Amino acid sequence: MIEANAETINKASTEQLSAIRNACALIAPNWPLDRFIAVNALWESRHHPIELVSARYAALAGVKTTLSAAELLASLEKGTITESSLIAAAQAYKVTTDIEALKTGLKQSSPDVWLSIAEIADLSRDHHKMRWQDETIHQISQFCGEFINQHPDNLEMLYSRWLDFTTHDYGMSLLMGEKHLREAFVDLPSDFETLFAEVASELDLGPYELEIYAHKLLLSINGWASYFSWQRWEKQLQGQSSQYVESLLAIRMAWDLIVWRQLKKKVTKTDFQTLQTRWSQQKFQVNELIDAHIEHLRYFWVWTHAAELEYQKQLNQTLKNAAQPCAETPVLQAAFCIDVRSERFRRALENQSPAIQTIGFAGFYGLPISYQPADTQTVRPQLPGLVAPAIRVSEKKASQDKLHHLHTLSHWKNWGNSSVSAFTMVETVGWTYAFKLLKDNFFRKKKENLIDSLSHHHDWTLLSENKPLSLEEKTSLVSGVLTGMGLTQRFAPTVLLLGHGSESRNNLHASGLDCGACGGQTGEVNVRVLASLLNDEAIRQKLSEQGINIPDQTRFVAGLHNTTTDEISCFSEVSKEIETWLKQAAQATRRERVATMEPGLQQLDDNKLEKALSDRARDWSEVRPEWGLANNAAFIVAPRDRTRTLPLDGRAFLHDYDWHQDPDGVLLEQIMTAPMIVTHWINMQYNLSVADNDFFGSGNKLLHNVVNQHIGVFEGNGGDLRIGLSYQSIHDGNEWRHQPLRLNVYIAAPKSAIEKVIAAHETVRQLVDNNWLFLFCWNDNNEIERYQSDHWELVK
Amino acid sequence: MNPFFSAHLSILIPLVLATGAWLAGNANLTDNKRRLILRAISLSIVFSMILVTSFFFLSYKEAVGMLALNPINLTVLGLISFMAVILIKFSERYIRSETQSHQFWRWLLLSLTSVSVVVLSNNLLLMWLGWVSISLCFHRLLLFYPDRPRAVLAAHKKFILARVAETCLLAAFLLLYYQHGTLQLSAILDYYLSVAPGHELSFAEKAAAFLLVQTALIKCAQLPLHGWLIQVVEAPTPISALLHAGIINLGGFLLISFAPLMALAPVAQWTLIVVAGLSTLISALVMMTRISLKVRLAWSTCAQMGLMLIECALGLYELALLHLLTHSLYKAYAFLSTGEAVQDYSLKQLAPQKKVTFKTAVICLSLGIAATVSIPLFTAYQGPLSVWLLVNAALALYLVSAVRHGLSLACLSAVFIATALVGFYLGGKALLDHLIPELPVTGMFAAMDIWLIALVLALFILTVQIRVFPQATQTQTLYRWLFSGLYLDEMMTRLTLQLWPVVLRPKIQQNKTEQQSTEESWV
Repeated sequence: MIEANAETINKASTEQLSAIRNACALIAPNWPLDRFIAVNALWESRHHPIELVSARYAALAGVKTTLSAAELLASLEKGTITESSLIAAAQAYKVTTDIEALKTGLKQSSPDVWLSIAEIADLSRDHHKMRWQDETIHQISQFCGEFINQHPDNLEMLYSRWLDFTTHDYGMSLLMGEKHLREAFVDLPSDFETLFAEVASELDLGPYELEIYAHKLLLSINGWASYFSWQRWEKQLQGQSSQYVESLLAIRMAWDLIVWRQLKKKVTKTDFQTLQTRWSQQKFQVNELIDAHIEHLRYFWVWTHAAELEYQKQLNQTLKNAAQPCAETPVLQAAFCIDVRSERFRRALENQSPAIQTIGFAGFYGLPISYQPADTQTVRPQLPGLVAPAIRVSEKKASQDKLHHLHTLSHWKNWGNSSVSAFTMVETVGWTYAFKLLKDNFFRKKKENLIDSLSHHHDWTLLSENKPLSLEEKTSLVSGVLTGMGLTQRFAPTVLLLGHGSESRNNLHASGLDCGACGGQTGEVNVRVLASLLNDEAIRQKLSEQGINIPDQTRFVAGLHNTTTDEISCFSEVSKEIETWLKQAAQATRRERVATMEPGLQQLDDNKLEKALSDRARDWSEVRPEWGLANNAAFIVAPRDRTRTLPLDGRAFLHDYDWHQDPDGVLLEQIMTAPMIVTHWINMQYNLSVADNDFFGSGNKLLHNVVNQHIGVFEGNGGDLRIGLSYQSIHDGNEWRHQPLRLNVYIAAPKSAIEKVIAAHETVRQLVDNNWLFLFCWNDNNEIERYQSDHWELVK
Repeated sequence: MNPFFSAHLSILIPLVLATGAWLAGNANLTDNKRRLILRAISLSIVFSMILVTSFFFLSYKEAVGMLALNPINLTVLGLISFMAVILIKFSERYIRSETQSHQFWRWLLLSLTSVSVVVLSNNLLLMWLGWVSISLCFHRLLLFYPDRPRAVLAAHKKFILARVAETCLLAAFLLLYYQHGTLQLSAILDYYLSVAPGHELSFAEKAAAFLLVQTALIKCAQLPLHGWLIQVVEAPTPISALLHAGIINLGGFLLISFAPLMALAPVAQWTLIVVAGLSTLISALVMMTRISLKVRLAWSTCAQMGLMLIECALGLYELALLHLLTHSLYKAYAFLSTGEAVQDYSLKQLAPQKKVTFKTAVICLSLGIAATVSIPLFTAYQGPLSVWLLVNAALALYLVSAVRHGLSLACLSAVFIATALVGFYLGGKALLDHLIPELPVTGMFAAMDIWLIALVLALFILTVQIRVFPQATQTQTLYRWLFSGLYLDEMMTRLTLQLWPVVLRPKIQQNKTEQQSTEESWV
């Protein structure tokens, strides 16, 4: 029977292949730990309404995309949802506005979940045996890690290498207690397209069901699928295509086929008959099942939306309170990243003096660079994951001492970890670890990121395609940046260009706390490069020819905002006055931020608090160094004058934009197609990690076990690779520190300009039309209108 | 000073730890209170340790009673106290926000209490009770997250093996009691120290020695009963640190304590050296194929424990003790700092290391062999050469790769470092040599030595084969076997499931029951 099939089927049909391609295209990328930037795990489903995607994930993998019923009901008691907002949300979703009925709606039991062959087989499997689903995932996962280690440049071979491995492997057969399991793999086709066809025919799947099934299987190994999707993303940035995700899918699908055949071969037919019955039942009911989930989840979305409406109501109130614009000629201008953590600091800094002006701009400052420490081969992107770097920067002179030290250290570690010399290392210098244990526990020191530690330089070389940038190219680069920042006139004597970075130790996800716009690194390189360009006399000369006159006394000073301690360090000297301002602002920010941390800190005085936070940053046993971007909820695109002094609670991304200076809407287009997407990714990463930490998050940090040193983590011994934020990043042990709300984008620009961008960009249209985010126009008269399916609605 | 008093003063340590378990294990403590309690415990541990040590040195004579204090167990006690202080400090923040943190504290401190009882006891029965208590307390730590099926499975596996080990140990102790009519450890050991070398043991004594070796092999997770050690990384990091830096060493401690008996039991020694030798070789090679850090570290522990047991079998007890101490410190640090792995990755990117080539491998091996051969030629050394071969091969690797990387003053500084390493090695060995009673050591080129030389050479050659010829067909086959862990653990997993199944419920169903239970609570 099997042989007959194998002969009759040659290749998959075009419909089948496109079904597979569609399924594989639905997996969003997940960046590795050394550049762990936020991403919306549902990004590749944005062409569907979020509610539908949510139902599909629930139906296919039992995944939650909203808070649980209990949590939502508790929100009503806590006041983050009110009855009025609940009614308004119910109206928006066109369901009953009866509160009790809405409560009952949440309590309905959830419809079934579509099961894979392995999962169905597990239902009737003896509990004295290992489960198929767990063990296949474990095997695939271990294999993938090993494969990437061995063939980093040849990922296309994934399926064939796995087939080779598995036809020689006795482990699964022994572990599962299944005889002839290994022989079963020999019958598998050697290319995955044939395999897809074989599966479709043997499991009797039409193209539509095949797509659903493929998606289901990918979700069962979502971590690795997301990793390969990232590899695919990187290839795409270079303009190449790849079939990594397809290969992974083939492996997972092959396992299902094997389980199917194993059961079929069994002497007792009951298990196979049960499997067959259940399989054909659910196969034909897939649409009904998704519909049932849509119905079931409708109430969850009503409640979620109620919380969003409640937040919008408060934010609208805040925004309508006129801000006090800064009239004076500024003494200090300070540019910050749009990151929500900058908001508190900017407000605190502006409070120091009316002569201080702050600017919000994407933290990579529009420099499309990658950083290569001089005299090394390491190249690290310093820009958002959406784009590929075009310019490579290096410090002019390498720090030979540091490099030498690194080489010695690397050599030593390599020696100590090798299988032959590890024994001798332990017996000779093992005792020195006693001092390390004491030092790291009791005498903590600051420990810097290794690559960052090489970047403390003022002189930079910029290369584009291995050629140094010409003066003209440099000038056009910086004039673009200045225009983007809205900083082309009225320069203060000191302009601070601040990047940001976090400080923590022993933290696998540290780069997730750094600047996402800089590709999960600190913004140090970017601000250093930009400051050196802007202080360059020749470039300033050229700029003035373009009408940007930077006064001679204006100095650009690069600096870094440490988001864990709220300390600002400037990389060249600033006046005493500015120093004091920064210090006081830091104190005020810490004071405000401490309200979100454990109660013990709140009683400390300013100095002790500063010490406590810096101690926390250096503590290798601290699993919650800072809350990162938790609780983000809004993205406000407007001149700072309009939001100055408004209490936004560190929940808003702030991007400076003055539509009067942007008649063609070019800048607006940039903002809505880049920073808006990045903020949406961050927002969804937090939302989803809260909603279902098992699926979208990386679980318990106490169990994290890093894979291949940087690819990602396992939770515990093995299982699937994990994506997203750890439980500790968003939960303090008692409650969530992030309230999942979809991003609320407020843009101070004419409606027509916004519409123009929506019309020109499908992605933006999808995000808005499919409820992935909410878009508001905040006009000069302080009226706020919400964009909703092609029309504007005035918010009262 | 009264030796009896000074020995029984050491009960302070288990007392302090047990009190700590009782106080910090209270579920209703505020974070602040618990922190104060933990600090007080740490201070008391340090203080007690100072007290115990000073009294020991003041009283000179080895003390005897229910508890005994001798240089060996004082050293190990020092290690345990150190680990206790380190783990308490680390976990204070690490575990703080876990809802079940009081459970963690209770069982962590009780585990440490039991370990210290085992180390101090001079009574076989007390020692056995402590031994049982360790694994029972530790079982609760392994189940810190009881809803993780893999954690439960690993804990069950460990539980079953621990019972087997305890039975072996009990049988061994009963045999010794039957032979000597006393439960006092020091009396039994004194007897074996007093007999002439080559004294013929009775069958019961041989059996006891053999059973002690079985206990040590299981406790040290030697192949093929190692699976649990690899799989218990399902527990929070400090628990892994405790296991790898404390509890797992007990097998070695047991053999070091019973050294006078072991020295007279060649069958036991041979069993030990064959099993531990193969474990070391295989584990060290398997470690190279692991992709996740904690699992890699666990395999490395298997290998390191293997070497420690080998050293016991060779009669190099001072070296085994050195290994026990230094490995504990190293492994505790390695586990607690697993979060720095990405930094290590950056380091490797910034300063990539050259791959081993066939030529350098040959040079290293020749250097290692030459250095080893020159030892008996130029010194009066008569002990086993195999351990020196391992050391010399490692030093040669260090030197050659330093020269290849052209690190400044490479040759000079590398030679200097290599000499320093040998110095540390000999120094550590000599320091601990005083603590261990004089016992026969396997001679140069004795059968055991030759067996071990073969293993060291195999380790070197196979490592080189994997590194230098990764694409060769034989390497691929070898690699596949290593990647599969030689299929040694699969049957143990199945046996565990047969004996004590984990109700591994499908995750989706679990979700559903969760939802149902919330629904019920709302009704």
